[in-house]
Amino acid sequence: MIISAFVLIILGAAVVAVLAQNMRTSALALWVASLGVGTIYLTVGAETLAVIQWIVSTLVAISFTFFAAMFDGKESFSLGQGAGRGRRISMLALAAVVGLCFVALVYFGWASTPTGPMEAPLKNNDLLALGQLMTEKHLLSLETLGVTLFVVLVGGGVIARPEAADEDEKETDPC
Amino acid sequence: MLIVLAAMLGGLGLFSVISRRTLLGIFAGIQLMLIGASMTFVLAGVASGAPLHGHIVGLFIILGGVAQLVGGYALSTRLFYLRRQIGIQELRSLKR
Repeated sequence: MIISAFVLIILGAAVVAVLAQNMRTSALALWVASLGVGTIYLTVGAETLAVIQWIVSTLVAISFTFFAAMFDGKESFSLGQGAGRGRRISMLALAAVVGLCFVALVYFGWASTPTGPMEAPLKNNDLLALGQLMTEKHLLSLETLGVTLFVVLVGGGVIARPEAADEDEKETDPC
Repeated sequence: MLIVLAAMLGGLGLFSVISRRTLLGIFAGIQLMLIGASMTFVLAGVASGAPLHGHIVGLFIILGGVAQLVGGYALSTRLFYLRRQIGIQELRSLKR
């Protein structure tokens, strides 16, 4: 019952995030959906992942709100606004194809999907086992992820910096 | 039911990625897709009896999403600095 309520909340928030006309509303709905997914993680025994999901989704929602305020009024956020007739028709066709694929997925895969709430495993499901598994069997993936985050952090700073030539122009030409 | 929810989250994110015209809207859709993907791995791990492997892959997906978002924010800032707008059509102008 509680799981069903959370599923409904997550689905509603996701739909609002997709269809919202305002970036801040979309960010808030995305945050609610992410918090709900973290709660689902909690019920299946993934406590560490739930906490990480909550922290990351909160930071993502805050950053979305900051950037929405920064770009406010400069660009339309509306769904498909400014699109031509052909693009609207292709969007509708794509939505129909995605819906048909989803129906086929549910129809053919329904028997293999687990029914009812999943029970959280009690043995070997703590943080120690997670850390051991990560360092013993997924060390290369962990290193790759760390290097990727470092490169993105440095590269993001390089990309977002102002041009030196533009700064020189501003200094020489005050108008 | 939960795996179906994950599939629907991924589908909604895909629809958002395709239909939005701004970079921030596309990033929100990608975040939704990544949430669905990580949820699928976690639930599949729990259902198959190897939950920790699903947790680790879910963790990697979440942190990879953070990396994507940081790069996207940098591109948005650069685009806004140059063109004063963050439409997806203006992204090609960064090549020049």
